[in-house]
Amino acid sequence: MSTTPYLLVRCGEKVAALPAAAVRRVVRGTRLHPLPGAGPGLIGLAEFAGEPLAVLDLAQLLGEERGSSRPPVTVVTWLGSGEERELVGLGVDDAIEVVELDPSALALGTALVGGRPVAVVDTERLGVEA
Amino acid sequence: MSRAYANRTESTSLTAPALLFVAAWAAGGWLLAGASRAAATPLLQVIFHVLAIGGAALLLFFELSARASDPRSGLRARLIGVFRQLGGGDLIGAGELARTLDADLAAGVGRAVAGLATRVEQLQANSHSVAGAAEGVERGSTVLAASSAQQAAAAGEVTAAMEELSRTAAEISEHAERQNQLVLTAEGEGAAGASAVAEAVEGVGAVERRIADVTMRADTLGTRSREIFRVLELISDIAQETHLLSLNAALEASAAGGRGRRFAVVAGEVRVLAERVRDSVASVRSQIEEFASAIRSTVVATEEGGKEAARVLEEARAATGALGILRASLRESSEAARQISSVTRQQTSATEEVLSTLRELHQVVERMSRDLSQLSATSGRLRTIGLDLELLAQTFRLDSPRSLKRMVHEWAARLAGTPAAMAAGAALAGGGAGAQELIDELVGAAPFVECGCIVDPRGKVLATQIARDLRESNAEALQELRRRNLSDRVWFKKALESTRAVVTPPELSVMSGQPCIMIAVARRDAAGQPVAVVEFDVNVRHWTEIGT
Amino acid sequence: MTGGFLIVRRGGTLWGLPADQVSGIQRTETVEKPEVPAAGGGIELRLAGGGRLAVDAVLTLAAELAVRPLSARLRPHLPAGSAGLALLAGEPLVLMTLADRVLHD
Repeated sequence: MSTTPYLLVRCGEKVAALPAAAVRRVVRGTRLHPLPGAGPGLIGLAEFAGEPLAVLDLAQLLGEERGSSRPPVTVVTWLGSGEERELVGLGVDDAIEVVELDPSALALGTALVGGRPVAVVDTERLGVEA
Repeated sequence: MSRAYANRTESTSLTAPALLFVAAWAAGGWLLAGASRAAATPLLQVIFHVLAIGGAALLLFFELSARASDPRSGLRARLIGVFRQLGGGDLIGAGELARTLDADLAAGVGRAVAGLATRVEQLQANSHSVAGAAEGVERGSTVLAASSAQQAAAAGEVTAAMEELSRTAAEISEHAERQNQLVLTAEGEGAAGASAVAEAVEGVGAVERRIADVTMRADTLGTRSREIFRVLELISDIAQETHLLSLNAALEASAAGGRGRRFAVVAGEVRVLAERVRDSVASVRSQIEEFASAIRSTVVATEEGGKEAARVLEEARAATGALGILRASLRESSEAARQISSVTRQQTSATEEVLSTLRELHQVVERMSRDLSQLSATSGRLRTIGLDLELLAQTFRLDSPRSLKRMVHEWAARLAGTPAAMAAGAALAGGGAGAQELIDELVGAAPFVECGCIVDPRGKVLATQIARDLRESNAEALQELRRRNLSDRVWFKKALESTRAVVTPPELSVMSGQPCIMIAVARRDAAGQPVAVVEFDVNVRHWTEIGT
Repeated sequence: MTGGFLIVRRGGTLWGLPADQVSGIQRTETVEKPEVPAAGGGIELRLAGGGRLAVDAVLTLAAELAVRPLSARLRPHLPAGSAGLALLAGEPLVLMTLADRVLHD
């Protein structure tokens, strides 16, 4: 049976699963430039592969309370789909591992990994409903 | 004097019975003659007549011989009489008798008597001076003895004070010595204490060095652990990067599909390794942190200990300082005590010298005091001798103002001649003074007369008086004297028997307690019978004082 | 100013402004109405629309910028007046547009 790889990340207390296909890179310690006047979800601006990268707070996007400290790990992710697909940095507390999940997980939006529930993120839709 | 009276009495007692015997014989003879006329025997008549004549001749012979011894007749007898008078000390009588001698004898004897009188008068004066001088010496020696006694007492007081001072000085010296000893002991202990403190300071210094050592090591350890932390940090970073790398590799592998599967496995193992490294790092870090915390505690404790040690050191230094001051002051005290000790020892030796000098002085003064006592006694004896000498000189009857005998004669002469006149008490014209009047005047006249009395021939006191200054204290004695019968008194009896004045040896007066002599003479009437005896007591001391 | 973009730094980030929208640059002591937290650098841009913009520093005038326009996803997260993102010398910058005259500090 085919499974789909997902990257497990931690945002505060929550663990989220991002589709591995959508994750370009996991980076840490990138230079983040804060943006005064920006919304609460934008952590700052960074540079990735010669392009400007907006880094959003994943926890805040998922509806979680944003922690006081800035998320140290940035998951450079393709958000959206098709032509309008754009690289966005997702700030998380930690990237854990790559796991294989059932394809139905995405539709469910949640899955059990090691007994723990994880939020399966649909990167195609993330941030658009906001 | 007594011998003269004895001779006189002897001759009188011989003559009277002899005369009586002869008279009786003569009387008996005539009676027999008368009675024998009747018998008309011529032999018997002749015998009786011869007997009568014989008796008368005997009577005449005795009378003549008596007359021959009567100094009133015969040159020889008169000369003998002069010598007798001289022998009796009656220079005036001798002088009078000498004048009855023949002209040339009278002149010679008279000159001799006068010369003797002059010498006796001189003797009286000298003896008076001697007595006065002796009195003065006695007084002076008494005063001297008293002052020397005072001096001895004063010297004794000074000696006592000096001895006290010496004792005190000895005490002070001893005390200073003891103090010195104590100070030396304290100094020794202080030195020990100072060395103990120095050791403690040294010990604390060693502790401080240890602490510094420990702190340094702790610092080193801290530095090391910080280095370790840095290394751990580095390892941790590497582990994190490795972890990320493994994730990215896994992501790429998943994108690569089937071909990436083996790669994904390797990536997974790398990831696990990275996690293990991360866990180890965490463990090591926590241990290091514990270790570092322990070291920090140790360092803190050590620092506290160091502070404590520094405090102790400070206190020890302060103690050393205080100890030093104490020792310095102890040394000063010790020095002072030594000085005191030395000074008091000097003083003690000086005091000893003074004391020994004082003791010598004391002995000298005591000797002097004894000598003075002896001198006083000697001067007393001298005075007594002087007095005796004076009295002896007084036994000569002279026409001298000094003569007490002359004085009593003069006073007695003024007394009235009859008892009635005496009792009358009023001076009759040409009849003499009354007894009381006379004695009052006599006692008041001379300051050396203590008392006087006029006694009738039977011994009854007719009048008496006491000197004014003795009157109050001796009023009772006076009353008693008035009632007394003095016929048993020696002076009374002798006065009655003689025409001359009587002088008694000195006796202590009942009234004044001082030596007195009694002068007495019998006042005789025209017939030579005693009508009264005039007597007065002379205070010898006062008498010798006057006229000097 | 015409053509190109004025690159300024504001609050730690680079901003780019169309040069023709900036009428003047001057130093200023006070900040008038800080809707956006200004760095207080003391430089004020006088904007063509009449507004003013306080900046920390004016860096350069870039002739052209490769601007990526903001997506619908990102737009709500960025400040009003942001037109797009660009990169200059390895540093990201936000392109400001003052066309709708919203931006004024």
